[in-house]
Amino acid sequence: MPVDPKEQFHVDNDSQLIIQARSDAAAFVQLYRGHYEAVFRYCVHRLFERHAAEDVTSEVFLKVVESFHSFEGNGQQFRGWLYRIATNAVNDYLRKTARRSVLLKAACEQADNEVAGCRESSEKLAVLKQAMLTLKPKHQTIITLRFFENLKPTEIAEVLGSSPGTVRSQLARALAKLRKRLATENTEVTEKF
Amino acid sequence: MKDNEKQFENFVRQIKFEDQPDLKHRDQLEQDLLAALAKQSRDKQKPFEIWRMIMKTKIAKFTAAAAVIILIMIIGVIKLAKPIGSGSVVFAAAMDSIKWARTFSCTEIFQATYQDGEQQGTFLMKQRWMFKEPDRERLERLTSPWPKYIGEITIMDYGARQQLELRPVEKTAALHDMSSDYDIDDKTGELKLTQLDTSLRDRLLKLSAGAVEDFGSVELDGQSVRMLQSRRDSQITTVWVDPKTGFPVQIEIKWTDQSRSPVLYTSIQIDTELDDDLFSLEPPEGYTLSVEKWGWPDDKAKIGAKVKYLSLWCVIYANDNDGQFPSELADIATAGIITNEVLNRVLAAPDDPDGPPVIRYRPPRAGANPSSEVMLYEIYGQWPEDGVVAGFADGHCELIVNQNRFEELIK
Repeated sequence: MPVDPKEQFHVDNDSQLIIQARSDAAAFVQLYRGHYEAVFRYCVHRLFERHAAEDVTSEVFLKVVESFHSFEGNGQQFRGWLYRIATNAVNDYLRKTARRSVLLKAACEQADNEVAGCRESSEKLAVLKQAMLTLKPKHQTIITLRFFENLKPTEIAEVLGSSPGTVRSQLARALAKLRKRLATENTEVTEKF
Repeated sequence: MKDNEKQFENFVRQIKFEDQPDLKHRDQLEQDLLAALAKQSRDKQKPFEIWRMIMKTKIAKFTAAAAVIILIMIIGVIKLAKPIGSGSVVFAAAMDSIKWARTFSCTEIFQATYQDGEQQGTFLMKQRWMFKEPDRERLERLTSPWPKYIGEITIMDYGARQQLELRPVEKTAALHDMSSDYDIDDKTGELKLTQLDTSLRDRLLKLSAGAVEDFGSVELDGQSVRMLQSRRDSQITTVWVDPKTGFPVQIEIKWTDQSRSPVLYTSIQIDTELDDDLFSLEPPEGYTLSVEKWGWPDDKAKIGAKVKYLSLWCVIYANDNDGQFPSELADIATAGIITNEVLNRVLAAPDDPDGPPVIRYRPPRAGANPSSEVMLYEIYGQWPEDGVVAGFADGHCELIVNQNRFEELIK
């Protein structure tokens, strides 16, 4: 499959930056700036809440500083490694029950408000949020990486440390579960899915 | 893309997330990262000052490996005095120490299943692994569901291409010729002679990346050690480190999925002196020795290695697909178990890796006895004098010399 030249440039550039960043703070900052947005967006897509996403994004990059010396790979592998750290950080955040309940409660309230207001995109977002947060973290991760971060199954497999075949079968199961959850949340919205 | 996925993709396209980053947060975090980097840089300097002192003294005469071990000890001692946050350095140093080992030994413990005819069961598998680079390994089976195998020792000398099996219960020894023992590189499909397997060490190394939690000092077998943990998705790895040496003494891998049994690596010893006698191909006194020649011609052994790997990949496929074997071998590539290139190379003749397939697959029939159901076999025109290699649905492989028997099996 041909690689997008822009993507390839980004990956090649990263490989150089990684080498430099081991001893040069300016290079590390450049690497950080190149990946900040992607990590933040991933956290938003998982947590559905900006402030929580900002907190977790901070945690992710501080962990990168802490463990950067143990990373041995190129630009492509760096992205996978970053997603792994972000996935662990998001799952840790959600694991703290109180936070998950707060997020879920906020999601329900938002869903009620949005349904009442009938703004289609926000309505779907609220319903999706409610349904996603009830899934297991593993299923949330796979759906988010596939449909929001647009990672290929081979890339997702690298993040999760499994095989592309396993990722495909887990994705199918996750979608089936999500569909069921969406169906119980709001039949009007889910008629189209 | 499947319909379900396509529908969900269309659904997602209609949703707007508030996912534009706040530049203030990005810039503030950048400042925090620079501060963290500066602190890390200051912390690193102390051990290197000591390193320079060491190099000026008699210790500078040590080998590179010994000097590096001392560096780990220094880092370990300094970092152990610090609060949480330095755990990752000790952890990484502990894992790195395994990489530099010329010898490695540990006891591996996990819950295993076994089958004996109709009987199935589980038992606590305990085995002691040792290796001495470049080419010697030893495995002791400390437990077994079958009493006669308890204490069985297998010593492999890849240089001499010989393997010694000792059975202390029966006091028998078997010396095997391994000159035609082949393996497949599952990344390239290349066929090669078996070599010293350091994959256990390499697997433990891969655990060093990711988040690290420091649990401080704990008691382990009467010894005070440092306990560190890392999490990667559903896998939790715990490492116990000897603060005096900086080496791991125990590693546990467990999963949040309860159906997976945890694995414990204990009594870990790194770069200690392992006597050559532990890897001797001479059986102990009082043992009855039998010498086993490699029964298969070399070219058949090569095909046999290919058939074994193909069988393994088919079983992996069946495992991922509710017991359904692939309808054709291309399915294992589609499933991502191996690539098409690897598959084609493995199917080809050993002396013609880019040539046509020389092995044929027949999907196992439903209800057939796996131990007598031929799943893979060597393609032939005229029946070869040496016979034909066949792989069975239970994973075993045979060289079938009798043509009538073979034709009966694939009827």
